[in-house]
Amino acid sequence: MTRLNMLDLRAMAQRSFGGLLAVLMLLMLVGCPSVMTTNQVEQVNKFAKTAEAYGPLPGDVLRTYADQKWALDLVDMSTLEPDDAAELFKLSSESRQEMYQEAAQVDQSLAVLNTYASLLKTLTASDYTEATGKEAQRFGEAIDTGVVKYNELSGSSVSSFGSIAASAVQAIGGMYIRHKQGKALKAAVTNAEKSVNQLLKESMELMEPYGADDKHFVALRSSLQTSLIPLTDSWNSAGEPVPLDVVEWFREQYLSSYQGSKLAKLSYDAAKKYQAAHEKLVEAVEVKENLVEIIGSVEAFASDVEAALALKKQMEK
Amino acid sequence: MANSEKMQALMLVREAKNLVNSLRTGDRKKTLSKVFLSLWKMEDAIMHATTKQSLGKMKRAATHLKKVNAELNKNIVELKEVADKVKKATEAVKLLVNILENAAKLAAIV
Repeated sequence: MTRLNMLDLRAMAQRSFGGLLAVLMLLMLVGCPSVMTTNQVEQVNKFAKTAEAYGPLPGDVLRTYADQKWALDLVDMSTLEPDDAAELFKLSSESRQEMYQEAAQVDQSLAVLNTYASLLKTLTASDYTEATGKEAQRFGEAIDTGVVKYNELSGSSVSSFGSIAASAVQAIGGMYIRHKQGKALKAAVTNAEKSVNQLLKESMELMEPYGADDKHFVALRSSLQTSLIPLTDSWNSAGEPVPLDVVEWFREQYLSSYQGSKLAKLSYDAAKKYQAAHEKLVEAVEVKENLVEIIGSVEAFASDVEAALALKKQMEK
Repeated sequence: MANSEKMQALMLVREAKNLVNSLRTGDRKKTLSKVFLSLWKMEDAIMHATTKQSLGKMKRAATHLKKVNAELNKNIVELKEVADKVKKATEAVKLLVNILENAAKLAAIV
């Protein structure tokens, strides 16, 4: 055998080995549960986008109630003796402030969940690179900072879960990015489960009397009706009828409280669907067969959020 | 959090407050405005019934209402319905305060 033939044979052997290695690695990746199907990734991405849009809604419910209650208290102040009116003014301002603080607590909870949604979006990006990996890491750190702030505001003890997701991202990069992206996504979703549930549960507890059984907005309407009586009496005592624009104002407040009820119900229901969709998401990243269920859950969540956003837009007009 | 007791107390206080507000006319306006304000404070304290501070507010409002109610019973016979509603609301608030205090004690032990 000539020297040339020997070199040819060695090169051939090297090529075959390289090809075999590539096939073996491909087989490993395909068989590995970390690889997510395009459909799975799409659903996680859709969930993340819906979750981001949901963000400010629960806090808005509490602020809407606080503002409408404040308007009602102003009417009552106008029919009280001066010293009682001054006392109610102070108390009502403080109460409104307290409600805004509760709304800020819900906002903070949703801010954490929003950052989590951004992390999921990054981890499901089709053009995932080292740079997006670093971005995901930053989201992970922002989640932890957000959880600390939420615990301060609420006195709760939600566990941080961002850095766990970030460390999973750190471990990926380089070759086989798709495979490793799926692995990081799974780690992020699985590790977030407990804290996401707790954040949603605590926000739902605050929203419950507004959304689940609509107690507060109904009470607001009853109070509006009865507040009209001493107000009418004041005008009549002065020998005048109640001006029509005052009556019109009452009508608007009455209608606004109905919109408040509706927004509260939609936001509360969406929170429940958020929780359900996330639970399905955790299952779906583990077991591919659950994809149909996750699609249904994400769709239901998305449709509630869409309806709530449309109503909010209408209320802002 | 004793949520059902909270909502029950809130409902009774609101009923009493609305009744008082609807009767706040003419000669009895001044007297009933004081009752209205006490019920307003009670409603607000229940709404924010998560802190020790709100427990104190509820207790103070309940004590004040008990006194006012005794006066209502003595002086204004035709306001018996108001007195009854205020009494019911005050009792519900007392129950809520007891539950919350016990829950707080339990939390301190745990």
